[in-house]
Amino acid sequence: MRRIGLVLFLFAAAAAPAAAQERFRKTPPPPDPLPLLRLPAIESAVLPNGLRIAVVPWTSTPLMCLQLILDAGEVRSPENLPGLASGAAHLFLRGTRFRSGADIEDLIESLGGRITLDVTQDHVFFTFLFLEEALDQVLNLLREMLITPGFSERELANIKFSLRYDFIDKNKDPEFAARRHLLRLLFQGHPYAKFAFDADVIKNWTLRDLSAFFDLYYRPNTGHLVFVGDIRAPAAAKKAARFLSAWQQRDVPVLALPAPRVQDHDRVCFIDVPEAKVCAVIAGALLPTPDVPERFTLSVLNQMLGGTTGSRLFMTLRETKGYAFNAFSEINYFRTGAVFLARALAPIPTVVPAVLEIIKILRSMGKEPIPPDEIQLAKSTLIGNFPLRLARFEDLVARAGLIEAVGWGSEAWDKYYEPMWLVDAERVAGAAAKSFQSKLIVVMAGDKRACDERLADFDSVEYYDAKGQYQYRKDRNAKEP
Amino acid sequence: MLRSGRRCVSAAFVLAALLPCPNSTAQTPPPSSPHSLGAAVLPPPTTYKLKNGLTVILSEDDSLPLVSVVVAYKAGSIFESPGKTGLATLMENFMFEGSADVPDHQHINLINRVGGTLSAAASEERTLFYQTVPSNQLALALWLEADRMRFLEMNEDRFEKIRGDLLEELRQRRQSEPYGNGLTAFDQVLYKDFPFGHSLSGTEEDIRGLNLDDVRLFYNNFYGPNNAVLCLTGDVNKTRARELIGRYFESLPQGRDNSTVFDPAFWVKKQIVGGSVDPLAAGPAFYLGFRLVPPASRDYYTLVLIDYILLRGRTSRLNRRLLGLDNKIAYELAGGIERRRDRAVYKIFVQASQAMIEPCQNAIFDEMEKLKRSFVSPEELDKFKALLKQDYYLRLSNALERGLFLVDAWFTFPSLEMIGLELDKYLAVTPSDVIGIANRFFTTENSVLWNIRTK
Repeated sequence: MRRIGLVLFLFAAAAAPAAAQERFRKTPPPPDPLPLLRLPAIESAVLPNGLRIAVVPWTSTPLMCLQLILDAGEVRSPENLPGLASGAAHLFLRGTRFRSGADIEDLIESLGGRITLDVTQDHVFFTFLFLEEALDQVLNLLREMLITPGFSERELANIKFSLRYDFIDKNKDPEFAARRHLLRLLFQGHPYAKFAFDADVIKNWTLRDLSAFFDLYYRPNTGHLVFVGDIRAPAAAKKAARFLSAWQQRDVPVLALPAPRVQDHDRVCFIDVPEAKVCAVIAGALLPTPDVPERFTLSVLNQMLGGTTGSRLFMTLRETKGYAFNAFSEINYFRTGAVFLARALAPIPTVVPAVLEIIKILRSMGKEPIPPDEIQLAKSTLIGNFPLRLARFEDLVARAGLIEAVGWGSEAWDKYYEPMWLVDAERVAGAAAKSFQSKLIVVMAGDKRACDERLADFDSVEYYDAKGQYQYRKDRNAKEP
Repeated sequence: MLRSGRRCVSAAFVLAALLPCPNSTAQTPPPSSPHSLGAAVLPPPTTYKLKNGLTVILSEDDSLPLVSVVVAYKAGSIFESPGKTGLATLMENFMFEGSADVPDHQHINLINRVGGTLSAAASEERTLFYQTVPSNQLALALWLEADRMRFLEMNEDRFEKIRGDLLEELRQRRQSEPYGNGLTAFDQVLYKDFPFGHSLSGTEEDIRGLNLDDVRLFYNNFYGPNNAVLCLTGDVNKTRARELIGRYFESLPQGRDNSTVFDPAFWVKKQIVGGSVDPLAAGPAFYLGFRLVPPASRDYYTLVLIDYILLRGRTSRLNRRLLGLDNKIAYELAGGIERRRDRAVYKIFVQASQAMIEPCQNAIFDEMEKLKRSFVSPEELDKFKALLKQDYYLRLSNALERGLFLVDAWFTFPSLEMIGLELDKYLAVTPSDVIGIANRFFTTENSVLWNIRTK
């Protein structure tokens, strides 16, 4: 007996450290203290021609990035020529008086570079990414493009062909069709609606119109040049002045943008995307231009609703109800106002319950109390995620460019954490009530033949063809059109 | 659980460009290099092994307060047996279902809650799990990875659910993903032997026949620490990282020994032309492959440069020839070098109108002939080396990409001491190398052409 006891004691003695050692596995470990967000201050300078220079000194890669931002977005397109701003931006990259578009491509790739283009409602962004030793050559190329643009009929014909082909491809995607149509409806009658142009308008662009647009809007006094790389503001400004001082300023028409018209009734719309195997759903609401605290409050609200796979939309529509493949939300900011979007991709049989559930979730946000824990979690997630949103070199450039373009301050950069901590449940509830108790527009995009019968559950549905042209409205219990 | 079946066909290619070269033993810089360009951006990482065989790689870059954690297991579809295909993919999904101390699906939830992102990928040779988190949450990521490395919870309910999801995903892809079946058929012609030639996602018939014991066996065989590498990149405090790694991984027992050796089936030098019908296809297309039998390490650097000359960037020869704005004859062009252990294939996919299929094929063979007959000009070669440098630097500037790069290097090289010199080897390729390699590999008898018809 004593011997058995001894064995048991020895066994227990040997096992005890192992058991103690393994206790730490039972629960998630606590985090270490939150590390400081040490981002280099964005430095700035202004050239005599009005071009504003911003510099993000970034030394951890031998790459450099230049981003030229101009106040020449789609809102600047003439009323009768929607899309002209996009056409001008594409043509800008397709040659100078001394080089063809292909020559520019050759040159930029020989510098270990690439150029990307993004045209938004408000701005156009040209991003040059390249090996840092090529900075002078890239600035020289930029000078040539700005001062001696090529604008040839041949390049324009190529661009028109290429953009039309892109549209044909994109129009088959229900998510693209739904988003574009929602923007059209939200901004109906507003200059921002021009952003949602279609392939049909491309044929109307002429070299003369494009050239006039370029002459008017591609001016240094409304532009920003952002440098990201191993450089400081004085050196960047000196180089920019050397190459771009001949780029002449000119008065650019002041843009008087009205506030977008708020909807006076809920609308449910369906846009036909023939042969689409799934249905895209997008619901949107216009929001007034938020100030800094409101912007952070909206971020928290968005995070709770549809920021990640753990948010309400995804958890309900996909994980709990199984109505959709995915469901997320986002906020898009414009010079005038903002748009909140909730979106989902659903199988055809569950598209209607998916729409109803999205509306229910949005409406409930402003009415029901929001648990403080959920707010806290959303804030921690956003704070933790912020450095990840800068993880790729391109992300860093995009964020710095956005800050310059829309005039956001250090709260969108190295002071991100402070205003986020201040968001509380009361502010989120207030923002939700303001945002989602107003009228919503819901757009579904899918194959009409496959979806039509299921839409009878809605009181009223507006139908649009594949090009976004209004067809008819079907009311519940009304006769077939 | 619902899954979207849409996937871009070009994503089916595994782009091997800029991955470390296989079989490389010569780890010295080329004599012509005055100094190393690559070493400046990629100093040698710290590597060590735990007693249980787990390899650890640590690489610091504190420019942002985040850390990427990559765990890679030598556990891909080549380890599946006939009749048991789909196991590697099923196992990858199983790893998110929960482990002894982590409830169902909480791995994803816990990482997302702290602002992190995560993903996983199974390939023919290995399965990777990776996450990026704020650097103060490193312990969480390590705790989660260690728990599923040792204590994965496997039961019939979870197995049935995952198998159901996988079958549903396959069904959706079969019904909605054009050119996918053609790619599988093309692979079976390229890789004649079962381990390399069968589909990574498995067949529906095989997956239906799998049982929980098969999964347990696969997990016990391949998911031990001695069959894995753990790589931490980003804002890594090495002392703290070592302490946490010790806490969570040191006591995990060693897994089974896996020293399976695959003898690649001999490739007969003979052109193969075949085809299949794909009712889902938007239009006719073809896959063209050149079997690179098997390239030595120094050849691989040249092959990557050839890939740039032919397909990378907007000014590459095939892009200009097939997709040029003035003379566009194809709708889609994709491709690259695909490596499966010590074999490699250069794959090209083209979609075009029926009338343009033959001109596209002729154009590709014509460009191959030009590579074989004329020296690439130094200017053109320099252009693509500059592009390669950009891609290389871009990849290493991101913590996660750097981690994936180092893990791949660990599977390839005997040591990571000289990894920083890799870039210099690409930059040392000469026009003579290009013409020599093109003549050796891009021959008609090395080619496999697979036509996809719509009916």
